[in-house]
Amino acid sequence: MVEMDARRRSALAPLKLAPATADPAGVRLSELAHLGKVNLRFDSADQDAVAALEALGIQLPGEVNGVVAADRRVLWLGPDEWLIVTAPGEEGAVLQQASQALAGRHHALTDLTDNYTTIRVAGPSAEALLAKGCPLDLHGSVFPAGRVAQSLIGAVDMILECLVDGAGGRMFLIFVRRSFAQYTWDWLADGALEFGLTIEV
Amino acid sequence: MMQITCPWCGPRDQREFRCGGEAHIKRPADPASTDEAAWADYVFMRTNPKGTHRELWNHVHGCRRWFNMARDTVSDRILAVYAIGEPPFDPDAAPATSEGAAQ
Repeated sequence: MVEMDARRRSALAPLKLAPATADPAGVRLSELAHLGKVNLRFDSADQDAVAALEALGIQLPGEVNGVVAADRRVLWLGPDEWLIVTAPGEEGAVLQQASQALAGRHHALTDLTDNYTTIRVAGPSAEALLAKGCPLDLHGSVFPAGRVAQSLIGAVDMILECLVDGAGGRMFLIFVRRSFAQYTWDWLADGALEFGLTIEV
Repeated sequence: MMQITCPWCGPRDQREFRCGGEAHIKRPADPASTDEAAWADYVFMRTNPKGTHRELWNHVHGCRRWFNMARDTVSDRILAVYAIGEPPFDPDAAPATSEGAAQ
Protein backbone atom coordinates (compact mmCIF):
# COMPACT_ATOMS: atom_id res chain seq x y z
CA MET A 1 0.00 0.00 0.00
CA VAL A 2 1.39 3.35 -1.06
CA GLU A 3 1.16 6.33 1.29
CA MET A 4 -1.33 8.85 -0.02
CA ASP A 5 -1.32 12.59 0.41
CA ALA A 6 -3.71 13.32 3.28
CA ARG A 7 -4.95 16.42 1.46
CA ARG A 8 -6.37 14.32 -1.35
CA ARG A 9 -10.18 14.57 -1.59
CA SER A 10 -12.46 12.22 -3.43
CA ALA A 11 -14.74 13.58 -6.15
CA LEU A 12 -17.79 13.02 -3.95
CA ALA A 13 -16.30 14.45 -0.74
CA PRO A 14 -18.28 17.73 -1.17
CA LEU A 15 -21.54 15.76 -0.82
CA LYS A 16 -20.53 14.77 2.76
CA LEU A 17 -22.19 11.38 2.27
CA ALA A 18 -23.51 9.68 5.39
CA PRO A 19 -24.26 5.99 5.68
CA ALA A 20 -27.93 5.15 5.16
CA THR A 21 -29.72 1.85 5.44
CA ALA A 22 -32.94 0.80 3.77
CA ASP A 23 -34.79 -2.43 4.39
CA PRO A 24 -35.06 -4.08 1.99
CA ALA A 25 -32.13 -2.47 0.15
CA GLY A 26 -32.83 -2.79 -3.58
CA VAL A 27 -29.73 -0.76 -4.38
CA ARG A 28 -26.47 -0.26 -2.50
CA LEU A 29 -24.36 2.71 -3.59
CA SER A 30 -20.79 3.54 -2.63
CA GLU A 31 -17.85 5.48 -3.99
CA LEU A 32 -14.59 3.63 -4.61
CA ALA A 33 -12.35 6.66 -4.34
CA HIS A 34 -8.81 6.95 -5.70
CA LEU A 35 -8.64 3.67 -7.63
CA GLY A 36 -5.57 3.91 -9.87
CA LYS A 37 -6.56 4.39 -13.52
CA VAL A 38 -4.15 4.47 -16.43
CA ASN A 39 -5.24 4.82 -20.05
CA LEU A 40 -3.10 2.77 -22.43
CA ARG A 41 -2.97 3.16 -26.20
CA PHE A 42 -0.73 1.21 -28.55
CA ASP A 43 -0.88 -1.24 -31.43
CA SER A 44 -1.59 -4.67 -29.91
CA ALA A 45 -0.46 -6.39 -33.13
CA ASP A 46 3.03 -5.83 -31.68
CA GLN A 47 3.45 -9.21 -29.91
CA ASP A 48 6.70 -8.22 -28.18
CA ALA A 49 4.99 -5.24 -26.58
CA VAL A 50 2.04 -7.39 -25.50
CA ALA A 51 4.46 -9.88 -23.90
CA ALA A 52 6.37 -7.10 -22.15
CA LEU A 53 3.13 -5.79 -20.63
CA GLU A 54 2.06 -9.30 -19.62
CA ALA A 55 5.30 -9.64 -17.66
CA LEU A 56 4.11 -6.64 -15.63
CA GLY A 57 0.77 -8.29 -14.87
CA ILE A 58 -1.00 -6.23 -17.53
CA GLN A 59 -2.83 -8.75 -19.68
CA LEU A 60 -5.00 -7.45 -22.51
CA PRO A 61 -8.52 -8.86 -22.83
CA GLY A 62 -8.76 -11.08 -25.89
CA GLU A 63 -12.26 -9.98 -26.78
CA VAL A 64 -14.09 -6.77 -27.50
CA ASN A 65 -15.74 -5.24 -24.37
CA GLY A 66 -13.80 -7.75 -22.25
CA VAL A 67 -12.05 -7.40 -18.90
CA VAL A 68 -9.05 -9.26 -17.50
CA ALA A 69 -9.56 -9.52 -13.75
CA ALA A 70 -6.26 -9.30 -11.88
CA ASP A 71 -4.46 -6.99 -9.45
CA ARG A 72 -3.98 -4.80 -12.49
CA ARG A 73 -7.41 -5.06 -14.09
CA VAL A 74 -7.51 -4.26 -17.80
CA LEU A 75 -10.72 -2.94 -19.41
CA TRP A 76 -11.22 -2.90 -23.19
CA LEU A 77 -12.12 0.61 -24.43
CA GLY A 78 -11.37 0.44 -28.15
CA PRO A 79 -9.34 -1.44 -30.77
CA ASP A 80 -6.13 0.25 -29.57
CA GLU A 81 -7.20 1.55 -26.17
CA TRP A 82 -7.48 0.05 -22.69
CA LEU A 83 -7.96 1.24 -19.11
CA ILE A 84 -5.73 -0.29 -16.44
CA VAL A 85 -7.39 -0.18 -13.01
CA THR A 86 -5.27 -0.71 -9.89
CA ALA A 87 -5.50 -0.42 -6.13
CA PRO A 88 -5.27 3.18 -4.86
CA GLY A 89 -1.73 4.53 -5.13
CA GLU A 90 -0.43 1.85 -7.52
CA GLU A 91 -0.92 3.93 -10.68
CA GLY A 92 2.54 5.49 -10.44
CA ALA A 93 4.24 2.09 -10.59
CA VAL A 94 2.08 1.02 -13.54
CA LEU A 95 2.90 4.21 -15.44
CA GLN A 96 6.61 3.90 -14.83
CA GLN A 97 6.90 0.17 -15.58
CA ALA A 98 4.63 0.24 -18.63
CA SER A 99 6.36 3.24 -20.17
CA GLN A 100 9.68 1.40 -19.75
CA ALA A 101 8.22 -1.71 -21.37
CA LEU A 102 6.90 0.30 -24.31
CA ALA A 103 9.92 2.61 -24.67
CA GLY A 104 10.77 3.27 -28.31
CA ARG A 105 7.31 2.20 -29.48
CA HIS A 106 4.46 4.41 -30.59
CA HIS A 107 2.20 4.48 -27.52
CA ALA A 108 0.42 6.69 -25.00
CA LEU A 109 0.10 6.16 -21.26
CA THR A 110 -2.06 8.68 -19.42
CA ASP A 111 -2.75 8.84 -15.69
CA LEU A 112 -6.53 9.27 -15.33
CA THR A 113 -6.69 8.42 -11.62
CA ASP A 114 -8.09 11.79 -10.63
CA ASN A 115 -9.93 12.36 -13.91
CA TYR A 116 -12.44 9.63 -13.07
CA THR A 117 -14.11 8.48 -9.93
CA THR A 118 -15.80 5.13 -9.48
CA ILE A 119 -19.29 4.52 -8.13
CA ARG A 120 -20.32 0.99 -7.21
CA VAL A 121 -23.96 0.05 -7.81
CA ALA A 122 -24.95 -3.21 -6.16
CA GLY A 123 -28.11 -4.89 -4.94
CA PRO A 124 -30.97 -6.83 -6.58
CA SER A 125 -32.37 -3.70 -8.33
CA ALA A 126 -29.04 -2.37 -9.65
CA GLU A 127 -29.85 -3.39 -13.23
CA ALA A 128 -33.34 -1.84 -13.05
CA LEU A 129 -31.84 1.41 -11.76
CA LEU A 130 -29.25 1.67 -14.55
CA ALA A 131 -31.83 0.78 -17.17
CA LYS A 132 -33.65 4.03 -16.36
CA GLY A 133 -30.93 6.06 -18.05
CA CYS A 134 -28.57 3.79 -19.97
CA PRO A 135 -29.25 2.66 -23.56
CA LEU A 136 -27.24 -0.56 -23.19
CA ASP A 137 -28.88 -3.97 -23.01
CA LEU A 138 -27.98 -4.81 -19.41
CA HIS A 139 -29.60 -8.25 -19.24
CA GLY A 140 -27.33 -10.87 -17.69
CA SER A 141 -27.28 -12.89 -20.91
CA VAL A 142 -25.83 -9.91 -22.84
CA PHE A 143 -23.85 -8.05 -20.21
CA PRO A 144 -22.60 -10.63 -17.68
CA ALA A 145 -19.86 -10.18 -15.11
CA GLY A 146 -16.51 -9.61 -16.80
CA ARG A 147 -17.85 -7.23 -19.44
CA VAL A 148 -17.25 -3.52 -19.91
CA ALA A 149 -18.88 -0.94 -22.16
CA GLN A 150 -18.71 2.78 -22.73
CA SER A 151 -22.10 4.41 -22.89
CA LEU A 152 -24.32 7.01 -21.25
CA ILE A 153 -25.85 7.24 -17.79
CA GLY A 154 -28.41 10.02 -17.65
CA ALA A 155 -26.73 12.78 -19.62
CA VAL A 156 -23.07 11.87 -19.10
CA ASP A 157 -20.50 9.50 -20.58
CA MET A 158 -19.48 6.56 -18.47
CA ILE A 159 -17.43 3.40 -18.53
CA LEU A 160 -19.60 0.61 -17.13
CA GLU A 161 -18.05 -2.58 -15.81
CA CYS A 162 -19.98 -5.61 -14.60
CA LEU A 163 -18.57 -7.69 -11.73
CA VAL A 164 -19.62 -10.75 -9.76
CA ASP A 165 -21.46 -9.95 -6.53
CA GLY A 166 -21.94 -12.85 -4.17
CA ALA A 167 -23.36 -16.13 -5.46
CA GLY A 168 -24.36 -15.60 -9.07
CA GLY A 169 -25.26 -11.93 -8.56
CA ARG A 170 -23.92 -8.95 -10.47
CA MET A 171 -22.82 -5.49 -9.46
CA PHE A 172 -21.70 -2.57 -11.58
CA LEU A 173 -18.83 -0.11 -11.44
CA ILE A 174 -19.48 3.25 -13.09
CA PHE A 175 -16.43 5.33 -14.03
CA VAL A 176 -17.43 8.95 -14.63
CA ARG A 177 -15.40 12.10 -15.02
CA ARG A 178 -14.80 13.92 -11.78
CA SER A 179 -16.80 17.02 -12.71
CA PHE A 180 -19.84 14.82 -13.44
CA ALA A 181 -19.50 12.72 -10.29
CA GLN A 182 -21.95 14.64 -8.11
CA TYR A 183 -24.55 14.74 -10.90
CA THR A 184 -24.17 11.00 -11.43
CA TRP A 185 -24.44 10.22 -7.72
CA ASP A 186 -27.57 12.39 -7.33
CA TRP A 187 -29.10 10.80 -10.43
CA LEU A 188 -28.45 7.29 -9.07
CA ALA A 189 -29.60 8.11 -5.53
CA ASP A 190 -32.80 9.69 -6.82
CA GLY A 191 -33.53 6.78 -9.12
CA ALA A 192 -32.84 4.27 -6.37
CA LEU A 193 -35.36 5.67 -3.88
CA GLU A 194 -38.20 3.48 -5.14
CA PHE A 195 -36.08 0.34 -4.66
CA GLY A 196 -34.78 1.20 -1.19
CA LEU A 197 -31.36 2.87 -1.07
CA THR A 198 -28.48 1.88 1.17
CA ILE A 199 -25.43 4.14 1.10
CA GLU A 200 -22.13 2.58 2.13
CA VAL A 201 -19.39 5.04 3.10
CA MET B 1 -34.59 5.67 -33.30
CA MET B 2 -32.05 3.46 -35.01
CA GLN B 3 -29.87 0.73 -33.66
CA ILE B 4 -26.43 1.12 -35.21
CA THR B 5 -23.84 -1.64 -35.28
CA CYS B 6 -20.51 -0.07 -34.38
CA PRO B 7 -17.77 -2.01 -36.21
CA TRP B 8 -15.89 -2.26 -32.89
CA CYS B 9 -18.50 -2.37 -30.11
CA GLY B 10 -21.45 -4.10 -31.79
CA PRO B 11 -25.09 -3.02 -31.82
CA ARG B 12 -25.76 0.14 -29.82
CA ASP B 13 -28.45 2.77 -29.51
CA GLN B 14 -28.38 5.75 -31.87
CA ARG B 15 -28.02 8.08 -28.84
CA GLU B 16 -24.39 6.99 -28.54
CA PHE B 17 -23.53 8.17 -32.08
CA ARG B 18 -23.09 11.41 -33.98
CA CYS B 19 -23.35 11.75 -37.74
CA GLY B 20 -20.43 13.50 -39.42
CA GLY B 21 -22.12 14.21 -42.74
CA GLU B 22 -21.47 12.79 -46.18
CA ALA B 23 -18.49 10.43 -46.53
CA HIS B 24 -15.91 10.11 -49.29
CA ILE B 25 -15.52 13.89 -49.82
CA LYS B 26 -12.04 14.30 -51.31
CA ARG B 27 -9.95 17.39 -50.60
CA PRO B 28 -8.50 18.94 -53.78
CA ALA B 29 -5.13 17.28 -54.34
CA ASP B 30 -3.36 20.46 -55.39
CA PRO B 31 -4.73 23.39 -53.34
CA ALA B 32 -2.59 26.00 -55.13
CA SER B 33 -4.11 25.34 -58.54
CA THR B 34 -7.69 24.78 -57.35
CA ASP B 35 -10.11 27.52 -58.41
CA GLU B 36 -12.83 29.02 -56.21
CA ALA B 37 -15.66 27.03 -57.77
CA ALA B 38 -13.86 23.75 -57.00
CA TRP B 39 -13.18 24.89 -53.43
CA ALA B 40 -16.81 25.87 -52.94
CA ASP B 41 -17.85 22.49 -54.28
CA TYR B 42 -15.50 20.73 -51.84
CA VAL B 43 -16.50 22.78 -48.82
CA PHE B 44 -20.23 23.32 -49.27
CA MET B 45 -21.84 21.12 -51.90
CA ARG B 46 -23.31 17.75 -50.85
CA THR B 47 -25.39 15.25 -52.77
CA ASN B 48 -28.43 15.03 -50.41
CA PRO B 49 -29.88 12.00 -52.22
CA LYS B 50 -33.25 10.34 -51.81
CA GLY B 51 -32.13 6.76 -51.33
CA THR B 52 -28.67 5.39 -50.56
CA HIS B 53 -26.47 7.87 -48.70
CA ARG B 54 -22.90 7.20 -47.56
CA GLU B 55 -22.16 8.91 -44.28
CA LEU B 56 -19.45 9.35 -41.67
CA TRP B 57 -20.47 8.36 -38.16
CA ASN B 58 -18.65 8.61 -34.84
CA HIS B 59 -19.34 6.39 -31.83
CA VAL B 60 -18.90 9.49 -29.71
CA HIS B 61 -20.25 8.16 -26.38
CA GLY B 62 -18.59 4.76 -26.88
CA CYS B 63 -15.23 3.91 -28.41
CA ARG B 64 -14.99 7.32 -30.15
CA ARG B 65 -13.98 5.73 -33.48
CA TRP B 66 -15.12 7.04 -36.87
CA PHE B 67 -16.58 4.71 -39.48
CA ASN B 68 -18.56 4.81 -42.72
CA MET B 69 -22.19 3.85 -42.96
CA ALA B 70 -24.53 3.53 -45.94
CA ARG B 71 -28.12 4.41 -45.06
CA ASP B 72 -31.30 4.64 -47.08
CA THR B 73 -32.61 8.17 -46.44
CA VAL B 74 -36.19 7.11 -47.19
CA SER B 75 -36.51 4.05 -44.94
CA ASP B 76 -33.59 4.69 -42.53
CA ARG B 77 -32.51 1.13 -43.29
CA ILE B 78 -28.78 0.70 -42.67
CA LEU B 79 -27.30 -0.97 -45.74
CA ALA B 80 -23.68 -1.35 -44.64
CA VAL B 81 -21.19 -0.37 -41.97
CA TYR B 82 -17.58 -0.28 -43.15
CA ALA B 83 -14.18 1.07 -42.17
CA ILE B 84 -12.67 4.43 -42.97
CA GLY B 85 -10.52 4.07 -46.11
CA GLU B 86 -12.64 1.37 -47.70
CA PRO B 87 -14.16 2.12 -51.12
CA PRO B 88 -17.61 3.76 -51.16
CA PHE B 89 -20.47 1.31 -50.61
CA ASP B 90 -22.11 0.31 -53.88
CA PRO B 91 -25.78 -0.73 -53.38
CA ASP B 92 -25.79 -2.62 -56.70
CA ALA B 93 -22.73 -4.71 -55.80
CA ALA B 94 -23.55 -5.76 -52.22
CA PRO B 95 -26.64 -7.40 -50.74
CA ALA B 96 -28.37 -5.35 -48.04
CA THR B 97 -27.65 -6.50 -44.49
CA SER B 98 -30.49 -7.02 -42.10
CA GLU B 99 -28.16 -6.35 -39.17
CA GLY B 100 -28.45 -2.82 -37.86
CA ALA B 101 -31.62 -2.14 -39.83
CA ALA B 102 -33.93 0.58 -38.59
CA GLN B 103 -35.89 -0.54 -35.57
